[in-house]
Amino acid sequence: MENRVSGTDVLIRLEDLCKSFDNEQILKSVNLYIRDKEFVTLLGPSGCGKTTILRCIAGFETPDSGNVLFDGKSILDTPAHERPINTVFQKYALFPHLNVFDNVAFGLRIKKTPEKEIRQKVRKMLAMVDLKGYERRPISKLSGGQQQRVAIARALVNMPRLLLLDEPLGALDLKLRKDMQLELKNLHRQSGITFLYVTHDQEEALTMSDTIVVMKSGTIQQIGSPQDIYNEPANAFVADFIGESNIFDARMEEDNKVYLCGSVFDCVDPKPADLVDVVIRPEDVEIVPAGEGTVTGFVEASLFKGVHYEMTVSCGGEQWIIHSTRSVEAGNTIGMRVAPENIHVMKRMFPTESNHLEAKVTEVSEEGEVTLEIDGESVTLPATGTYEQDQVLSLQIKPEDLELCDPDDAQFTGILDSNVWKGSFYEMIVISEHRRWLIKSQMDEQAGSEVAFRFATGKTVL
Amino acid sequence: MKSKKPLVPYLFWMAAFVIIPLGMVIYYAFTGKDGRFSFSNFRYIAENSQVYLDSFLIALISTAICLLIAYPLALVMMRMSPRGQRMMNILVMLPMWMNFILRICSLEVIFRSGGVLDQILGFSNPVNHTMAAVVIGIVYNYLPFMVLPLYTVMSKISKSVLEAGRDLGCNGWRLLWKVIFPLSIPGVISGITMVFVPAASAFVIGNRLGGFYLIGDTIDSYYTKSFDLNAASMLSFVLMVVIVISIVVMNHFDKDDDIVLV
Repeated sequence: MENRVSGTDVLIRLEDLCKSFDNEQILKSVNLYIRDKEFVTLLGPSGCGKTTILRCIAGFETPDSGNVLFDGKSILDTPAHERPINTVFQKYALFPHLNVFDNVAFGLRIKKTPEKEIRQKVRKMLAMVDLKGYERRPISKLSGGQQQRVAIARALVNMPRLLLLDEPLGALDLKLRKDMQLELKNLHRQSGITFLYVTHDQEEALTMSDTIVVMKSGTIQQIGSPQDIYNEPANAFVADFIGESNIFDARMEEDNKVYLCGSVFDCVDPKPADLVDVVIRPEDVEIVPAGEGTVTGFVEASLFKGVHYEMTVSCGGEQWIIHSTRSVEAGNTIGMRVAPENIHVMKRMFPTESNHLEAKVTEVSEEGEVTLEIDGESVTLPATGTYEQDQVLSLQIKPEDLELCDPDDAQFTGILDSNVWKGSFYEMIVISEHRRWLIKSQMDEQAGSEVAFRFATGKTVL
Repeated sequence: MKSKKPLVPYLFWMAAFVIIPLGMVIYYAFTGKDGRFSFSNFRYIAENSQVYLDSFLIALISTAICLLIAYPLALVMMRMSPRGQRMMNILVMLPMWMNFILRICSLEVIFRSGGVLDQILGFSNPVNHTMAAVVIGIVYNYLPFMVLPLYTVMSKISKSVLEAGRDLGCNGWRLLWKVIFPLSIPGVISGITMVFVPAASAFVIGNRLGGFYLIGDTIDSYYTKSFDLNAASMLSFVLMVVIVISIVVMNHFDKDDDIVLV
C-alpha cells in the first residue's frame, strides 16, 4: 500500500505494528512513515485502529510486535514522558486545578524552563491560539472551543518534533470546527512541527492534510494526497468513505471498456480482473437528453442542496446519485454520460462473485431435509437432490442467498468488516471465525458491529 | 423545586434533634447549679485542659496516620480493575459491619496485660494502656472514613488527564505531585474532617485501650456518673467550638469551588 517515495527526511516510521486487546486484533501489521514537517491524517471509521496507532507513538500503549522508529531509532523502550512528542487529546484532558496560563506552562515547568522564558513563550502561544487575556481564567469557565485551543497551546508550546492530535475537533459545532481547521492548518505552517492527525471526518481530512492514510479494521487501505484519495480510491471502501459516490458492481472483458448498468462505458483503466468495482462521483455524471447518453435513467427525486441539486436516478435497477447545478424535475427521463477519465475502476474487495465453502453431510432426513456441517455449525436445509451420509459437498453460496437475521435464528455470526451501498443493495463483507463472507442485503448495518446471518429462508441454495 | 413543602419534615427533624439540643447545651453550659446565668462553668475547662490537649493531639496523630495509610491505598485502588476496586471497597468496609464497641473490646483483649499479644510475644507488650494503643484503636476504627473519600475523588480523575501529565513530561512521582495530589485535595479534606471530628470526640477507646479518659469519656462521666449537666454541657460546647473552627480552617484550603473533576 505504501506507494510514496520514502526520502531521507522521514521522522517517524512504523514497522509491522500489531496490537490486540482482549484477543481482538486492533492493528494488523501496520507500516507507515511520516516525513518531517508533514501533515498526515489517519482517517477511518471508529474502531479502525487509528487512535491505537497514535497511542503507540505517544507511548501510552506498547505494541504486541513491530517497531516505532523516531529519527531512525526505536523509541519503544522510551517511556511516554521522555518522548519528544506531545498530544492533543480527544476530550482536551486539561488540568482542572490549573488556570489557562498554568495549563499551558505545565510542560515547560516540568522541563525546568526559567520562569521568565515560560511567561514569554506562554504569552506568545496564547496569542497564537487567540486566547490573549485569558491567562487567569479557570478551565471550567471556558467554552469548548476555548478549551480546545488551550489544549493545542499546551501541547505546541513545548515545540515537540511531532504533534499528535486525536480527533481534537470532534466535540465542536460545525462552524467552530471549520474555523479551527483553518487555524490548525496555519499553526502547522507557522510552527514547522510535524502533525499526525486522527479523524473520522473525511472532509476534515481532505481540507487539512498533506497526506491521508485511510484505515479499516486495523489495516491501511490507501495512502495518498487528498486528491489521490478522492480521485483514485483504491477500493470501494475508500470510495464510499471519502465523499459521496456511486459504486457499482461491474465487469471488464478488455482494457478500457467496462460493462455496468446494462451498457458499455469507456474508461482509461487496464483490466485488473473480470469482476471489478466502479466508482463514479455524483458531480461527474453528465445529464444529456434522453437517448443521447450511454445509459438512460428515470429521475425519482431532485433536492436543492444549496450549491447544487442532488438527483436520485434509477437506471437498469440501480440507483444513481447525480450532483448538478441544473435541476431536472422528478418524473423525467434523462440520458447520462460519464467521461472516461471519471470512471474509476477498482479491484473488488471480495475477489469472487459468491461464497465458496465446503460442507459435510451429517444427516439426511426423510422429510426431504439435509443437515450439513459448515465451519462447525449444523445447518438444516431443504434437499434438492440425493445426498449420502458423510459426503463432502463443495458449495457456491450466492451473496443474495444469505440474509441478516435475529441472533436467535442465526446460523452464523461475524463482524461486519465493510458495508458499501452499490446502487441497489448493500455489499457486506463479514468476517466470521473461519472465513470472510460476501452478503448482499437491503438492510443497513453499522460497520464494525456484530451481525447474525443465515441461509435465506424460502430459497433453494443447494 | 418551587414548593418547599418536602423540606418540612427535615426542618422539623433539624429543630427537634439539632437546634433544640444545641440550645439546651448552650443553656446548661452558661448556667450554674441554681439555674442562673453564670460563667462559673469555665473552671471545668481549666480543670480538663490537659484532657483537651491529649484528645486533640491523639486525634491529630491518628488522622495523620490514617492519611498516610489511606493515600497510597487509594492510589493502588485507583489503578485496579473495576472488579478489584469493588473487592477492595468491600474489604475496607468489612470491619464496619461489626459493632464499634465490640471492635474496641476485641482490641482490648489483644492488648491487655496477659492478653493475646502478650501470649504471642511471651512478654508484656509495651503498647497496653498507652497513647499508642489509643491511636491504634482510632486508626483501626476510622480508617475507612479516610479511604473512601480519597478513593472516590481519585477514581474520578480521568485517565486522559493522567496521560496528559505523562505526555507533558511527568514521571511517576511528578505525576503524583503535580496532577494527582492537587486533584485529590477535596478528598483529603473530607477524609481529614471525617476522621478528625469523631476522633477528637471519641469515647470508650481512650478508656478501654489507654486506661485514661479522653474528652469524650470525661463528658460522658460528668453526665452519667456525677450527674453534672452543666459541666458536661460546657465541655461539649468548647469541644464543638474547636471542631467547628478546625472545619472552617480546613475548608479554607478548598475554597476554590471551581474545581471540576472532568
